Amino acid sequence: MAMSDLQTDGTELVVLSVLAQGPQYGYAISKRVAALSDGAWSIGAGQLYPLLSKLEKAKLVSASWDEVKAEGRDEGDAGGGRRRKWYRLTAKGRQRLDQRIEAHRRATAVLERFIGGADVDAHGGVA
Amino acid sequence: MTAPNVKPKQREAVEPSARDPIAEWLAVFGRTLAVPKTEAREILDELEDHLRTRVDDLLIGGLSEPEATRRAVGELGETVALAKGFREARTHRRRRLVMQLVTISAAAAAITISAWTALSPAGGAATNGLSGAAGGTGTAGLVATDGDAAGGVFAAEDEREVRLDRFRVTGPTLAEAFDQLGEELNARVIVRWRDVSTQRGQSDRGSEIETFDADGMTLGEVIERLLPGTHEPTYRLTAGTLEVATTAFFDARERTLREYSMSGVALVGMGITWDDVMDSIVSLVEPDGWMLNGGTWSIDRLGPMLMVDAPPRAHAGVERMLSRLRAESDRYNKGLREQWAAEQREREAQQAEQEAAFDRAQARDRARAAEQREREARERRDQIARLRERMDELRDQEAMLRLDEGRLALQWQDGSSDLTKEQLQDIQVRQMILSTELDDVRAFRNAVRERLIELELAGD
Repeated sequence: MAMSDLQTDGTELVVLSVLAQGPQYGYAISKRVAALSDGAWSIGAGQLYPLLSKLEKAKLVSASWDEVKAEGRDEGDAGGGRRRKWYRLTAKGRQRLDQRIEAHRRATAVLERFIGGADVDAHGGVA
Repeated sequence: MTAPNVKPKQREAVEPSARDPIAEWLAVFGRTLAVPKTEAREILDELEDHLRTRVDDLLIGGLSEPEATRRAVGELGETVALAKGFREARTHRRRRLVMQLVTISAAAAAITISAWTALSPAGGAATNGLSGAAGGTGTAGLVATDGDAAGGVFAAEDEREVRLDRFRVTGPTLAEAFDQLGEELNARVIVRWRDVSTQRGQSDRGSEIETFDADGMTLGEVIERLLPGTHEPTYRLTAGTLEVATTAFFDARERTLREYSMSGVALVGMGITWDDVMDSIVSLVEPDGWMLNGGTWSIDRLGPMLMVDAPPRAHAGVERMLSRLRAESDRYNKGLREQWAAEQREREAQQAEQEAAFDRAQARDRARAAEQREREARERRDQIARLRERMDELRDQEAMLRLDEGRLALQWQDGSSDLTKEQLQDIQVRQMILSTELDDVRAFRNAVRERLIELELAGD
């Protein structure tokens, strides 16, 4: 339970971070995550879209739609255009992201004391 | 299905098409989704965009179109799990427990499709893609459950449709067209003009319509065709009267308060709360109508009763859902007794088996330990015997060496007369050699004796 919470938190942090760089749509977010982590980390669509939906419900992101024109092959497929949902970080979302980053930094600093074996000063920074 | 698509609420993207596996998948997925209509539409649009963009990427990557489609759909994971993900994003309640209990059959069709998608070989009828290889099963499933994708899992089934035979709508006005319809059906026609009119305060009855051939169309389809701008027009045909109005109009008029007894349903045993049940109804049965989702129908608990104030189609859905829940509860109750007895039997058998196994293991251990002790004792005895032998050998050797030493010493003392200088030197050398050898033998004998004592001590 705790482990999956951690993973969920991690995914949320990553998605919010990607959106902090500018509005994106779902597929672009997953591609960006894969690219930034050199393919080491991928967020499956089955996880991403429900998460985005949750973030939208929590008003951490806002969404808007625009039209996509089908490129390349236009075999007269019924209705070439389709709708694309764009996500944008809200002020509340940015706040949440900052909290998350802060919490993450604190947690890593503590972890670092254990695994780094380095001297740590009174403020928790690694010397 | 050859009937023209006249329902404004059905979109192109969710309309199953034999040529477009993605649309087909979306249609099935929409049925599994069970969230309010507007939300479902957005989710489906988003997933469609995702799938088509992904397929384009995979095509650039060199995959064939059927392969790319299969891959893209497969990447979304299991349909049911994905739908669950979206539903859970909407709610933090334990509603999903009830959903799991009551949505199994609706999900089955989706599983068939997604399982097929994942397993179907890449070869075969490549140009046909999903629909070709899905064959009878997939397509038949889609057509058989030809409901509104967003109407919820427990959406009411269509009433028995009236189908028109060799009928032509000529008008020229809308009112006249309805009169012709009434004549054809041999019924008095009541059109709730104020309700079906598209412009406020103004009736559409005088507006002109295009003539069309309604042969083979259902009454509902004809009415939708006649009232294209009206939101969900429908009708009631009873006792020689055809009444035409919107669904909302009939809903408001036909709303009834009904009570559903929940006594005897093992809610607690199954780990379900009343809130779970009500939440599930609100999100599975015609989700848009309920007050909680911005509609007007209500649902409440009164003692062991569920009080539902809603139109008949909602009641039908509620009834279907609750009967599923009751059936599940029966299975649970029956299962409890039988399961308990079976488990008891199994436990006893298991215990007996465990005891027997334990005994066997113990006996085996005992035998093995005895054998081990026996073997060790034998080895010890052998070793002791070997060492004793060796001791005797060494004692003999030592005695011989002492004898030699004495003999040489004697020769050295008195027999120097006839010995040459070389012989004398030879004797001295042999003496030296013998004495060192004797030292070695003594040291070794001591070591052997110590070991012997050790072994004899260990033996007892």
